[in-house]
Amino acid sequence: MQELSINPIPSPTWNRLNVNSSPIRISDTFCLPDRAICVEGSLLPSREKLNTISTSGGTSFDTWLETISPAAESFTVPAGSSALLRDDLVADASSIIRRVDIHAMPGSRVTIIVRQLAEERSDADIIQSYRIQADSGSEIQFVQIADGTPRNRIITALGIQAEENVGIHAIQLILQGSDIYTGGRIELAGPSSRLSCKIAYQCDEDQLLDINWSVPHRGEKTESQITASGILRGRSRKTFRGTIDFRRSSTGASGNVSEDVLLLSDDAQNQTVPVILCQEEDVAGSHGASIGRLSEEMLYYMQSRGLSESEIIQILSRSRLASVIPLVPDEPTRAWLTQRLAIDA
Amino acid sequence: MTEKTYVDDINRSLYDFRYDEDGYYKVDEGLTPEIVLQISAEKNDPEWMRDFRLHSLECYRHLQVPDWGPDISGLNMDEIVTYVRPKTGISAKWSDVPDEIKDTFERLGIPQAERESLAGVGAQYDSELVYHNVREEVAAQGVIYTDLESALHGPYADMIREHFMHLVPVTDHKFAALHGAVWSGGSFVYVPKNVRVEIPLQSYFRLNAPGAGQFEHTLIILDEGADLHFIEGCSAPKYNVANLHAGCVELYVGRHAKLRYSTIENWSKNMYNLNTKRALVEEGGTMEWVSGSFGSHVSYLYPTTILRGENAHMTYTGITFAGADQNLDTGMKVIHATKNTSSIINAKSISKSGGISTYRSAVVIQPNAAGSRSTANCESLMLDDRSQSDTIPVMDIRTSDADVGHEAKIGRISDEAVFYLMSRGLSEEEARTMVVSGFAESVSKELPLEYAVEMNNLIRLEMKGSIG
Amino acid sequence: MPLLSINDLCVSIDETEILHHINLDIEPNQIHVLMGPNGACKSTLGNAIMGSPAYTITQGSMLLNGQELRNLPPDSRAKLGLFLSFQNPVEVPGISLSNFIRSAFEQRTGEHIRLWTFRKQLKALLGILDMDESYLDRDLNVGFSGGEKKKAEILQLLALNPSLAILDETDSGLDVDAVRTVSSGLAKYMETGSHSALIITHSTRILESLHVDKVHILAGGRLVHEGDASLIDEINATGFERFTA
Repeated sequence: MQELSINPIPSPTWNRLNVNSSPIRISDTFCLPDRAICVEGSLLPSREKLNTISTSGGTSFDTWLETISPAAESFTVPAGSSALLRDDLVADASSIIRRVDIHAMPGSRVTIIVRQLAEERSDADIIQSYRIQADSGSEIQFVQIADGTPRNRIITALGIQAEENVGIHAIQLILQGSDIYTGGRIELAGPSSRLSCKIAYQCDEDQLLDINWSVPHRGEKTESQITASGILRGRSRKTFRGTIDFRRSSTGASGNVSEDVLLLSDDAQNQTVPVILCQEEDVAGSHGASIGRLSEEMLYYMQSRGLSESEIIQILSRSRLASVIPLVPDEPTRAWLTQRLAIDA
Repeated sequence: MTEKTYVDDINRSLYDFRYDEDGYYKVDEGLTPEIVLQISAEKNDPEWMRDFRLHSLECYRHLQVPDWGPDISGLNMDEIVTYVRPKTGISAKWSDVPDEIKDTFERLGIPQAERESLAGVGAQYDSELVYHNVREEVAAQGVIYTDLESALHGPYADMIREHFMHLVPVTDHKFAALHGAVWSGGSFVYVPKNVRVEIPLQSYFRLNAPGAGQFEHTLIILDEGADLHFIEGCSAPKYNVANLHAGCVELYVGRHAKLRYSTIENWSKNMYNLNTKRALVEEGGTMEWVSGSFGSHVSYLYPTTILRGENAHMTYTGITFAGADQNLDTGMKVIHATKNTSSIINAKSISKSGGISTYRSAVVIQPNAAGSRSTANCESLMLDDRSQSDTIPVMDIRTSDADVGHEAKIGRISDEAVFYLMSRGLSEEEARTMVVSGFAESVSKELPLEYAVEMNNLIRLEMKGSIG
Repeated sequence: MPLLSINDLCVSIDETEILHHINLDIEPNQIHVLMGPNGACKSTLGNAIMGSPAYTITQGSMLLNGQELRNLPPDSRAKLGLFLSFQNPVEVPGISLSNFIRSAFEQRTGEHIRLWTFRKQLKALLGILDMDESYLDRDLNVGFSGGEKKKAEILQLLALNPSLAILDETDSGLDVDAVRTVSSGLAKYMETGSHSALIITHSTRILESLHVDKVHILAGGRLVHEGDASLIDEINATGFERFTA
C-alpha cells in the first residue's frame, strides 16, 4: 500500500479546505487488462515514451505510475491519417492498469473511446493514463465513460501537449463507481489550438468524484471551454477543480470554465474550485459556477406542465447525462449509451 | 499584435516622509521569551495577558509559514523590532501630541478629517497610540472608544478577556500567534444596545521606525441593535529594510446590529502586511467590509466572516491595486454556519508594472445552513503584459438548500470603450483613466467621500503618462 | 356543469390578502377575458388556480370538472386538464424543449410515444407558430427572447392539449406580427376540441381573431364587473376609471 496525492491544483490555497490535492491509498500489485485496445484506421506501434507530458494526476501520481508500470503501450498516428481506438477496461477480481502514449503526427486525427466497466461483483481498481503528443494541425477526440460497480475505484489521468492549430474535444461521462478520479491537463502550447470539454456526472450514495482540469495557455489565440454539469444525491461528495492558466505570450487567448451543480440531498458535499491564472493582458478569461437545489420557481413551472417532483428530478438528471451523447463521435458508443441511460429514440 | 503601453508607478510622496526615532524606546530585534516579557512588563499587562503572550510565542515556534501564498522569505523575524514606543503618552488633544508626530498626522489629513466628519479618532504611531478622542455626544450615548491597554485595566477588562483572540485563536496561523505574543496598541470599541453612531469612528496606523513591526489589536463589540461605521487607515514611509504589519481585528456583531468596517491600506512597498481580520455575526446582524489595498510589498489579507445567527448577512466590497514590486494576495472567507444566512461579494483587482494581484476566497455553506445564499462577482483588469492576476475561489457547499453563484472574468481595458470615449473628444489617456475609474467605481462609491476622492486620485496618478 | 368554478376564493401572500372573494365560472367552449388596471392582481388569480407555491389560499374553492383543486400540487392540476401560459417562463438549462414537452405529454396521457413520431407532430405545430425547428433542440427557454418564450408556451399549449388554458399576459411585450402568430395559435387551440380559455391581458390585439364570450374586470383584488365582448371596446375608449372609482 502506498499513500499518494492526486489531482493537485496548480495554485494551492488554504490547506484547511482540502482542495489542493486528494490523498489516495493504493496497492502496488496490478494486472494488465485482458482486453486489448481495438483499433480502426492507421495506428502504428512505437517505442516513443512521452515522459515529458504531465497529466492531470499530478507529478507524484505520474512518478508512481512510472515505477509501478514501466510499460506504456505506445502508438503513432502517421501524418494526415486517422485512427479510432476503442479501449474497454473491464475490472474483475484484480485491479488493472493501462498506460497509453500516443503521438498524433501533423494533420492526423485520432479518436479515443475509453469505457471503464466492471463485472457485477468487482471491487477492484481501474487505473488508466493517457498521454498524447498532438502535432500541428491534428485533431484529438477523447471520450471517457466511467461506469463501474458502486465498489470500483476508477482513476484516470490525461495529459495532452498540443502544438499549433490542434483541435481537442474531450467528453467525460461519469455514471458509476465508488471513488472516481479524473481530469485532464491540456497544454495549449502552439498558436490557435483549441480545447472543448464537456463533463457530465451523477453521483449517488457514498460515491466520491474528484475532477481536476487545468489548461496552460501558451500559444497565441488559443481557446478553451470547459463545461461541467452534474447532480449530487445521497452522501456523495464531489470536488471539481478547473484551472485556466494564461501564460505570458498567450496573446489573444480566451478561456472559460463553468459548472452547474444540482444538489438533491442535504448529505451531499460539493466543492467547486474554478481558478484563473493570468500573466497576459490581451486575454479574455471567465468562470462561472451555479450551485444549488432545484428552484421553487422552476419546480412550479415544470409541475404546471404535469410533471411530478420526482419525475422532474429524474428528467433533469438524465438529460444532463444525455446531453453529451450526441457529441460522442462514434455511433456504436452512442447507441450503447442511449441504451444504458434508457433513452429511447 | 497590439501596442503595449506601460504605466508609471504611483507617486507616493504624499506618504513617503519620515522622522527619526532618536530616543524612542525599542526592544531588541528578533523574538525571544525575554523580549515578550519585556513588552509585557512595559505594557503593565495583567497576569493572564502575560501568560497569554508566552503561550502565543510557544505556538508561533511550532506553526509553519503558509505554503500556498506569496513568498515571504524576505521577511526575517530575527531582524524585526517588535516594539517601538514613541516618547509620548496618549493625548486627547492634538496640541499635546509631540510636534513631529502631530506633523505626520497633519500631513495625512487626520486632524482635519476628525474636525469635519468623524465621531472619534485614534492615531497609532509605531507601537503605541499617541492620540485618542471621541466626540462628547457619542461618548454620552455610552459608546466606548479607547486604547486596548488601558481598557484592560478598566471596567471593560472582563469583556475584553472574554473576547480577546477568541475569534482569531493564536493557533490559527503563524502570524496570529506572533500577534498574540507581541501585540501592542490598537483600539477597543463598545457600542451599547440599540445605539446608532451616526458618523464614523476612525483609527489611523502609522509605522515610522525602519525594520519595525506593528501589531495593533482592534476589538469591536456591537451590542444588540447597535450600528457603527469604523474606518481604518494605514501608511508608512518607505525603507530599504522589511517592515512587518501583523495586526489583528476582531469584530463581534450582536443580534440585529450592523457594522461597516472600511479600510484603505496604503503601506509602503517594503511592508509585509500579514493582517488577520475576522467577524462573528449573530442573528439578523449585518457585517459590511469595504477594503481598498494599494500599498505593501506583500499582503495576505482575507477578512473572514462567520455568520452564526439566523438571517445574518455579509457584504464584501474590495479592490486591490498591485503595481511594481507588489504581490497582493487578498480576498475573503465567509462561513455560513446557520440557516438563512446570506453573503454578497464584489471583488475587483488591477495589476500593472509587473505587480501580482490574487483574489483568493472561500465560501463555505455548512450542513445546517439551509436557505443560505451567496453570490460572488470578481473582475480583474490587466494593464500590461508584465503583470499577473490570479483568481482562486473555493466553494464548499454541504446542504442542498443553498443557492451559490460565482462569476469571474479577467481582461484588459476594452479598445471599444476607449474608442467610444475618444470619439466624444477625450484624449486616450483621459479615456483609459475614465475606464479604470469606472472599473473601480463599485468600490469607491462604498467609501466615505474623502476616501473615494483619494482613491480616484491614486488611479489618476497611476494612469498619468500611461500612453507610450 | 361549468368547466371551472371558483367560489368565494381569497388568496394571500405573506399573510396579506390580495384577492378577495372571487367568484368565476367558465363553461366549456368559452373564451373569457380578465382585464384590469396594473396591480389588480390578475396574474395572481391565474397562478392561484394553477397552484403556485408563492400564494396561499385562505378561503373558498376551485373546481375543475367538479374536482376540488385546492390541495392538489400543480402537476396534478395539469393532469386534470389545466394549463397556464406563464408571463415570464422560467429558463430550464439541460432539458431540450422537445424532450420536455414529450415528457410532460407522456406523464399527462400515460402513453408512451416514440421520439420521432412526437417530433413530427411538434414540427407541424411549429409551422403554425412560425418557429424554426432548431428550437426543439435548444434548452427550454434558455436564451429565448421574450417573443420566443411566449411562442414556446403556445407550442406547449397546442402539444399538451389541455381543456382549460389560462394565458397570463401572453401578448405583452410582443410586436404586431408575434401577437398575430400567438393569436392564431390560440385560435387553433380553440377549434381543435372542447376547449376553454381565460385570457389575462391589458391589450386587445390578441383578441381580434377570437370570439370572446365574457369579460371580467379585476380591480384592487376584486372582480368588480363583468360583461360581454362589448366591454372591451368600452375599456379601450374610456379605460378602467369607471370600475375603480
